[in-house]
Amino acid sequence: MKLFNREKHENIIIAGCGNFGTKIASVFAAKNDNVTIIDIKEQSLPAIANAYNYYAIEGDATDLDTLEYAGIKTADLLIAATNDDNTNIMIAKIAKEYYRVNQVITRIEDTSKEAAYNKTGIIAICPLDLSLNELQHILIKEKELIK
Amino acid sequence: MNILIVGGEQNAYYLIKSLKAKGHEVVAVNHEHDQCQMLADKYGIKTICGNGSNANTLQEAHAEKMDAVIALYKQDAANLIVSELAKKQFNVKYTFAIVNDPKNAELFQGFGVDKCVNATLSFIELIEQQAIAGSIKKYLPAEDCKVMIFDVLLTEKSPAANKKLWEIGFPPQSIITCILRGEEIILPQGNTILMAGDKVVIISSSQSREQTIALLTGEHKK
Repeated sequence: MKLFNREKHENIIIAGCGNFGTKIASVFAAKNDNVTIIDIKEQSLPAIANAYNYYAIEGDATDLDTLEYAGIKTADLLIAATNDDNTNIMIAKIAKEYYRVNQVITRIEDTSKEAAYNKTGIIAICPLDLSLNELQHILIKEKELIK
Repeated sequence: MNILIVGGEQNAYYLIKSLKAKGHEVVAVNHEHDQCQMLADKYGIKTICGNGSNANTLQEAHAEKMDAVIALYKQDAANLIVSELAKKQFNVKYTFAIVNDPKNAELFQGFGVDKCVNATLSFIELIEQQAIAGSIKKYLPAEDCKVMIFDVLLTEKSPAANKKLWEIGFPPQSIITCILRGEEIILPQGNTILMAGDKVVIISSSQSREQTIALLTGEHKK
């Protein structure tokens, strides 16, 4: 699967490795980017660390020490992919506003929190909104086919 | 003032009680229905049952009419989001948050939180005061502990006794503001001589504090 078109090998930090984080990590690792993943639970880490080629750090990604250990000062991209919105926004804000990471993407379930991160350059992905959009596209296409 | 208290358990009750006693209007947001009921019954305040880090809940609590929002969640991240939303979406003037990790205190104040309260830092401050309190009487931190005002009593053993001020070589970020000698108040100049029994009032940055105290008392922090 080719998701991204990037020439240079980039330094990428992924905070949180549930399904979402793990999948993204594997995609980037497959194209030889330098991927570091952080998860607070040790048991989330080893299974994927064996399967793919990247660094895994057990720790709290809202902790500045953990982020610095993960190399946030030289990171080109950070993705906040934990299962908690507040934690994701906090990580994203630290990355963008404190460490000035070039690209910061965060996963958000509850878009009512938008004011906490908009106008900062943080890019938010909302799976629910994306699914709804896709659903609408599919329904429109179906209608056109019937005509 | 109109104050919104978001989250919290035991500490929320005491805070609400004290604020009510001082005549403030308090509204509480709590995610547990029983707690909301109890707070409403006991203190006669308006409570909203819901997640305080959700903008819709804050809207329901009329956060835009609040003068201050206090976030008491156990999670630092949740307190940050409550404060950010209060500040940016509802234009609340003052936001306060509890933080657990001392590092977050400085970090959050760079974001939308006006003041952070950190139990760990407060304890550390207390212990440091105790450790150096041998000859120090009062201790008044200002500007988030960046600047300290304190006084030191000089003893016979003090390395600064019987020296002119310019001879002592204080660090650049500290200054002796006045010397109390018996009933007399002396405004110091470079050639003023310090004597045992003098009480010296100092303003200093927190970095220079220990060095200044060491110069005056000869005591080093353990």
